[in-house]
Amino acid sequence: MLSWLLMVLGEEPVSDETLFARYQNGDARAMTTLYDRHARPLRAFAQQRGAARPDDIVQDAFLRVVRNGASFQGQAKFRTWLYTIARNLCVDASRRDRFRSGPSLDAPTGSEDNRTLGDRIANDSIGTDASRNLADRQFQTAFDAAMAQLPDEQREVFALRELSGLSFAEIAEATASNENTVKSRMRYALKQLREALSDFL
Amino acid sequence: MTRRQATENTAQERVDAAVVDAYERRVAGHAATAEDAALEAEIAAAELSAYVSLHQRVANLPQGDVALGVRSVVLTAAALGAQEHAARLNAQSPLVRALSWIMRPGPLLAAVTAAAVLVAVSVRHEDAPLAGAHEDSAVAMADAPTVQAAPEVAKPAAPALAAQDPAPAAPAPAAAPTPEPPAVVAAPEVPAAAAPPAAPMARPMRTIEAQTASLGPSPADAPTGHAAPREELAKREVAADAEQKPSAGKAKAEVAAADETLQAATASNDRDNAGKKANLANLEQAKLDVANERAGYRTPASGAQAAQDNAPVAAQMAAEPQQKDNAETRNAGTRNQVAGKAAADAVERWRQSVEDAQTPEERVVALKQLVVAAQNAGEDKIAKAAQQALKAAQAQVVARKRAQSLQETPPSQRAKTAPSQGSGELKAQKAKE
Repeated sequence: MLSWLLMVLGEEPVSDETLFARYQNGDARAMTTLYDRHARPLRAFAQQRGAARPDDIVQDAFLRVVRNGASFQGQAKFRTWLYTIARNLCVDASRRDRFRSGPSLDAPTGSEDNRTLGDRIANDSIGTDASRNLADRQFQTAFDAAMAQLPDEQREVFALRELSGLSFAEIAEATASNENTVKSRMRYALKQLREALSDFL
Repeated sequence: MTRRQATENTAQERVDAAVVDAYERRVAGHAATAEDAALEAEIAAAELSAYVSLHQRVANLPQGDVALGVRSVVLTAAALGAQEHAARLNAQSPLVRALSWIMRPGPLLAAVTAAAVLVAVSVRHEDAPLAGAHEDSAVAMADAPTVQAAPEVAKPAAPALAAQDPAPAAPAPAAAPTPEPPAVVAAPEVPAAAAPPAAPMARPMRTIEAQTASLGPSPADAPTGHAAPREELAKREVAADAEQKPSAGKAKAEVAAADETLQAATASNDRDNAGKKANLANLEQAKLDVANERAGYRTPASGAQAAQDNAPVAAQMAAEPQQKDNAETRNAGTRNQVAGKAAADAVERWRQSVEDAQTPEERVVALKQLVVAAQNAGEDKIAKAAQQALKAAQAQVVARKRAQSLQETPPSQRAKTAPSQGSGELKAQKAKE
């Protein structure tokens, strides 16, 4: 009752499912809210999932949501559905990028300023990013390297949990795994990241 | 959950899950619980602290924005999609829209759940009267054996019992689900008065069984549908009691043996006394028979035959004083034995006489003596059989005498006595004479 009152008064954010139902009824603004809510975490997940172009994953995922909006009947949570689509897209992208010998220079590095790898290499070499905290940048680099060393399953679970904010139940549903299995993968990911980033902790 | 998922749910995974749960609680700022304390042996507190620190560092990492081009593409497509959705909805009739809304998983699940709850509640409400009905039927089933005994109420010996307990026949048609042919056969014998409207439900089963046994045999005792004699049932009950209670059976057997001894002694005494009376009665009877037969015989031949017939009686008459003297001289102890033996000997002797008899008259006399001797000796069966044979022999003798008398009567006398002759013929015959 209280949650309903808060929702009516606008104090509590409207759920994803309600927003998507509004979009299905012809409200385009609901989709804007959904995009703003999930685009960045989704991009972070795609980036940690190893996608060379995470923006493409985000765009393709939302376009699939828009196209298949009529078929979504609410069997699962909207966020789970969205990340399942993004995960499948990442799998397809990794299959396509299997023959790539090295990282693309057009691939974004995931940094705050949205620079590509080529830009970052060029700028870091000349030390123009003076405004950024050196420690954070070092940690970002070390974190990316540590994440790259994790197995795909552990990295996926960690990204979905820490970067995208999904619950373990949602992760289990999105990855078609047991919840305890997901938590076990999470623990091993934490252990390895702790060892790899011990200098920063 | 798939099988693969289930197999992956190992003990190690549960431990890992507990660690991660503790980590999650730490991250969320919750206080450490008892479960966290139990995990101290599994994980060091420092490890959890390191995890929390890692989480904070990762959370502070800036997430890169998605390109603006991506946003515009997505929102444009979303606007077009929203228009299509709206147009589709407007094209649909309200009924189809309502149906499509109802058939969504959410409302459908809610409706199914509500229906299940309603069904469960209704079934629960119906359970109370059903339970009472089950109890009633169970009690009725318990009373069912009385139905099998109900036909016996109509027997002559039963009214007193029926008056004491007229209830058993009441639930017969409704409470006996098993088809019992005897009950069906005997049902019409139940009088209307012996069938009260209702049977007491809480009657003890033991009482019912006792009453059932006292009322009559069970259908198993009468497989042909007819009830066995009540005496046989009583004997069976006594035998069953004797089998079930060895001490009681033994005592009964002792009592029966004592009774038999007493009866034997009494019978010996009676035989002693009856032997004397019987001898006198035999003598009197023989005299009467001889007198009767002499009166019936009109020819010398028949008189000789009567004397021949009375020869055993005369011999008996001659032997009688000697037996009487012997009986008087014997002491009381041996008297009974002698009397019993004498009675048995008399039976045997007269039986032999009956077998040796060559004429019906001899046979009649011998049979009469045999009947008396058998009665004195206590041989009822022999006495009855002899009596029947006596009747037959007497009938034969009568027929023979009639035939003889017809042969010996002159035709003139025969005409006088012949009822078939007319009065005119008799007048003519008189006139001739």
